[in-house]
Amino acid sequence: MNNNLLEIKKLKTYFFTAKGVVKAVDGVSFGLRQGENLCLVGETGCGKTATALSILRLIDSPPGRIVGGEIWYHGEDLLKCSTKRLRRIRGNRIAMIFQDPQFSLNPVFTVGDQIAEHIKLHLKLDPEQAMERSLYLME
Amino acid sequence: MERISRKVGGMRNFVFIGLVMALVFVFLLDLYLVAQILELMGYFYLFFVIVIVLYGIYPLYVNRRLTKYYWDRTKRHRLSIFGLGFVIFLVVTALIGPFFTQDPTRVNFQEKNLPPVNFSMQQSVYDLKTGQFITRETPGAWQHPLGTDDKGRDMLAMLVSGARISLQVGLLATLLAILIGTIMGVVSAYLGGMADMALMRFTDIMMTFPFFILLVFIVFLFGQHLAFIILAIGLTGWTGTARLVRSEALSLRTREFIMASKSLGASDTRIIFRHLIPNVLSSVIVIATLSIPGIILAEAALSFIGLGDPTVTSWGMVLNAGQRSLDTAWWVAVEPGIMLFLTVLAFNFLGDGIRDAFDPRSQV
Repeated sequence: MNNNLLEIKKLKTYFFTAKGVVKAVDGVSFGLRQGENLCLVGETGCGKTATALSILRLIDSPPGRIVGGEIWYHGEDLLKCSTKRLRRIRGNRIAMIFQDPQFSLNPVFTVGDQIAEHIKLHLKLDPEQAMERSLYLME
Repeated sequence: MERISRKVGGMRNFVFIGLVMALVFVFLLDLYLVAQILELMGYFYLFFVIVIVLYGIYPLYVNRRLTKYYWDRTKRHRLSIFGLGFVIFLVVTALIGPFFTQDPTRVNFQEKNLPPVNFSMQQSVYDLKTGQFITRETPGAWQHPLGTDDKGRDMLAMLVSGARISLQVGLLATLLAILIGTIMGVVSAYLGGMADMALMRFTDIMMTFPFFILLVFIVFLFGQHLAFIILAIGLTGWTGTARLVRSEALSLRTREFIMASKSLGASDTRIIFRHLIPNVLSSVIVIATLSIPGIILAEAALSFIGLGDPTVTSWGMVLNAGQRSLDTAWWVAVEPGIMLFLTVLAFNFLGDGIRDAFDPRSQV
């Protein structure tokens, strides 16, 4: 219907807590074309991260759940595809950069190891090539 | 240098699998074709050595800077150095000692109840010539430096054999318990929800079950072979580890790097084995060292009440023999007792030292 790469329609992510339902994302819609940048701006706790996590279906459930809406990526509804398919997309097609590198890196491995791990995972390179690639990326 | 070590590190798993397969192959060959190259315990022991060398000593060797750091931190604990020294002494004794001592099972009634060197003992001996009991001063002899028991078996040989048994049981059963406990704890924490509930209630049941009675029961069911005793202790001793690892993994699970890894497309198994387990490993090492003495004592207790492996001489067994002749030959009970005491103490000190070295929060 259109040439949007990523299309989000009326996305609703609610958190069901003991004190009631928190509507973190409530009917968000936006589209993203190839080569386009989209910036989501808002105050703390307004649901930017919840939106991003929802797109990759990384919301912890319980308590969170995506209760409504559609996420279309390349003509595929991410909310309906299998977890296996989703794993191929995560980090390969859609990646997320977390705020604080100090907390989003595993403290027992070197940074190079961790970059190489996911290069290995998605590009099916052997450990040596993956390491070279990750060193190249860091330069 | 860094690059080379990494390359070899990747090969390590293949080397490990290869060695284990070779071991299994030799074992099967042994079982079906040839008679007894090694006894069952030998294979357990070789497996343990492979694990320790590849995953313990090798990384320490490759990463010498870190090793030095840990060593410096352990060194600050005087007692832990004593512990390490005694453990090394024990391992060396257990490995090469039996080649230098006499046969621990050889009975010689001519030389029964000989005291250790430098001690002598008033003993009533049956005199063949007169046909009467006479009281005679019996001095210790260098032939049996630690004396002999009431059947004339050499105490030194029995203690050396006992060291081997205690270490085998202590190390192998701990390895087993730690393996089960770690995987249980991490999986339970990571999965959460109902799975966590089920696994932890199972752990609770295992915990409340009287450990010793269960041991006796398993040994009674499956037999008194040392391998079964190790299995029995290992299969019951993992509960504490599982709890501790779970609590640690629970806090790790909510850390951002787990989420980051997930967002990059890592599978659950990958996250558990590549990200969670390496992070809990330092506490696992500490728990392992600190749980060895308990397991050694459990084995000694089992063989003390006569449920140990009757074909091997262990400290518990010697203790049992010794307490019967406590008034005529005190050394038979005292010597294995001292060994057990020192061993347990040494492992505890070592564990304390390692904990201080590995725990970044502790300020020594």
